Amino acid sequence: MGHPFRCITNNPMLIDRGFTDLEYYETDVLELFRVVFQKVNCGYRLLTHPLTGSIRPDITPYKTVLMSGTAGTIDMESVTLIGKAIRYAEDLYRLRDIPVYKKWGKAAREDFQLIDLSIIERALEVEEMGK
Amino acid sequence: MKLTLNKFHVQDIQFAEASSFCSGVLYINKAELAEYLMEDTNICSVDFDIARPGESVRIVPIKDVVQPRFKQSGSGQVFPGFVGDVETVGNGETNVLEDCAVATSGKIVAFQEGIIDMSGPGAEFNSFSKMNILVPLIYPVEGLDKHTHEATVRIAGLKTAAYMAKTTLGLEPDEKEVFEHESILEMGQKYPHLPKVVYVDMVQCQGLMHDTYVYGLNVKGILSTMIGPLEVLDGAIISGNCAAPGHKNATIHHENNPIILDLLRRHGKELCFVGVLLSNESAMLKEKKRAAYYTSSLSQLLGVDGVIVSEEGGGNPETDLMFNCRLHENKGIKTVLVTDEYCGRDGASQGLADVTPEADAVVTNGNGNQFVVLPKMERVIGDIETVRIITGGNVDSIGEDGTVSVEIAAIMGSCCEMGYEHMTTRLR
Repeated sequence: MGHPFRCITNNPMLIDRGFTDLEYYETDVLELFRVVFQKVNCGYRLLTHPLTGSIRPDITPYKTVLMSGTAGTIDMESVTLIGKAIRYAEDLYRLRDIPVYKKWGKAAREDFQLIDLSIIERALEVEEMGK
Repeated sequence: MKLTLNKFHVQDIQFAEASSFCSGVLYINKAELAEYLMEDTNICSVDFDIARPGESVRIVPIKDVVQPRFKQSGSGQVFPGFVGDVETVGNGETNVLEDCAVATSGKIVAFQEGIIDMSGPGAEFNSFSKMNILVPLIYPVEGLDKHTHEATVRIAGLKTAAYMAKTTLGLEPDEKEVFEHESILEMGQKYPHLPKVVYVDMVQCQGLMHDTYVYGLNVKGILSTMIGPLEVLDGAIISGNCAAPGHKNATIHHENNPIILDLLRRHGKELCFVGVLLSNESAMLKEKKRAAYYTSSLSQLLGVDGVIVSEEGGGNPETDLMFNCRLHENKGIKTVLVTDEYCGRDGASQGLADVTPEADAVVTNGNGNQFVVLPKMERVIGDIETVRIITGGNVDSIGEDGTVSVEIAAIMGSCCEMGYEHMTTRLR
C-alpha cells in the first residue's frame, strides 16, 4: 500500500523533514499549481486547498500542496479547485510587471518558508486527530 | 442573558506616575504596565508610544488591534483563557474604553503586519485613526521561536488592553448600552412570527499566525459550535491571525463585531437573532467540508430561515464561504455572504478565489488591490522600512520623498470582512 499522501512543494524547508513522498520543484507558485493540475488530471486528488493560508500567491514564493498518495479516477472537485487557483494566481501575477514574490530578501523568504511549513504541519496534525 | 456595556469616551492618553481614568483622560504608569507585561519572561523589554487622532503619525508594523475592556461585574473576565480564567462571559457589566485601542507592534514575520495613519488620506481607510492608540513595542528574548514570539505579543496586547480598562472600575460611564438575548426556546415563543437568523462566523485555524482562539482554545479540529453573541462582545474570541492587514479580523473586530451588534439591536423587532455559529477554516479540504456540513446541520437543527456568513482571510477561505453558502441554500436556508475582494487595480478581475451559483447575495467590503499613495508622516512609531515587506507593499513602496505607495490591503482593517469600516455594498 502506498503512502497516504504525496507532498508537492517548492518549499526547500520541507526537504529532510521525513516526508516520504515529497516532490520538490524549484519554481514559483503558479508553475507549481500547473504541476498540480497535471497530477490532478492523472487521477491524484487534492487533500489541501491549493491556496493554503492567507498570503496571496503573488506575495509568497512558497506553497505546498498535499495530494492523495495513489491515483484513481479523475476527481472533478480537484480539477475545479486547482483551475480556480491557477486563474486567481494568474490575475494576481499580472498586477505588477515583476510580481512581489520575486523581490524578497533572504530573511523574508525564510519566514515565508516557515509559514508554509507550519500550515502543512497543522493540516497533518488535524488529519491525525481523526485516527 | 443580559450584558451592559459601560462606555467611557477617551479624549487623550498620557503617561503619568499613577494609572487612572479621569475626565476623559487615561493616565498610564509605563513602569507598572511594563512590569505587568514582563511577568512573561519571554519579553526582554517593552516600551510604549501614543498616537492621537489628527497627528502626523504612522504606526507600522501592527500585529493586532484590541479595544480595552474590563468586567465591572458578572461572571468571568474579558479575554477568557488569556487574561480571564476560562469561565463563561457575556453577562453583568463590562467597562469599555471608546475611541481608544491598543495596537501591538514589533516585527514577528512582518509581511502580514499593517499600517495605521493617524491623519491624511490613509486615515480615511479605518476607524483606528480616530482613536487614541497605545502602542506596546515588545522586544522578545534572544532566540525565541516564532510560534512563541507570536503568542507572547498576542497575550501582551490583551493584557495591556485589560490593564487600561481596569482604571475605570467603580466610575460612572459616559453612556451605557444594554443587550439582552433570551434562550433559544424562550425567543422562539416570544417571536413566533419574526424571521429566525443565525450569524455564521468563519474563523481561521491554519497554523502559525493563521489562528483564532475561543476561550483560549485554538479552533483547530473543532466541530462547528454555537456561542452566545454576548460572549463575543466580552472578548471570548481572540485573533492570532495573520491575514492581510486590510481584511484581518483583529481582536477589536471580534469585540465589536458589527454583524452581531446590528443583529442584537434588531432582535425582537425586525428579526429573531438566534445566535452565532463558529465554523472553522482549515487548510484540509475534508475539514472544510466537515465544517460546512456541520454548520448547516446546526442551522437546520435550530430551525433558522436565514444565515449571514462572514469570512476570515482570502483565497482558500472563499471555498469555505461557498461550501457554507451552497449547503445552507440546499437546505432551504437563505444566505447572505460578507467578504472583500482582490479584483485588480481596475476592479475588473474576479475578486474571489471561489464562487458558486447559489451565492446571489454577497456584500463586499472593498477591493484590497486598490492602490493609494500616502504622504510622508512626521513621526513613525515602529519601523517604516517594514512597509517594503508587508502585504500590499513591496521593495519600491517608499519613495525618496518619504511617500508610501501601497495597496489598501496594507492598511489595518481597510476592507474588514465583517463590515466594520465604511466601505460596503449598497443596492441601487
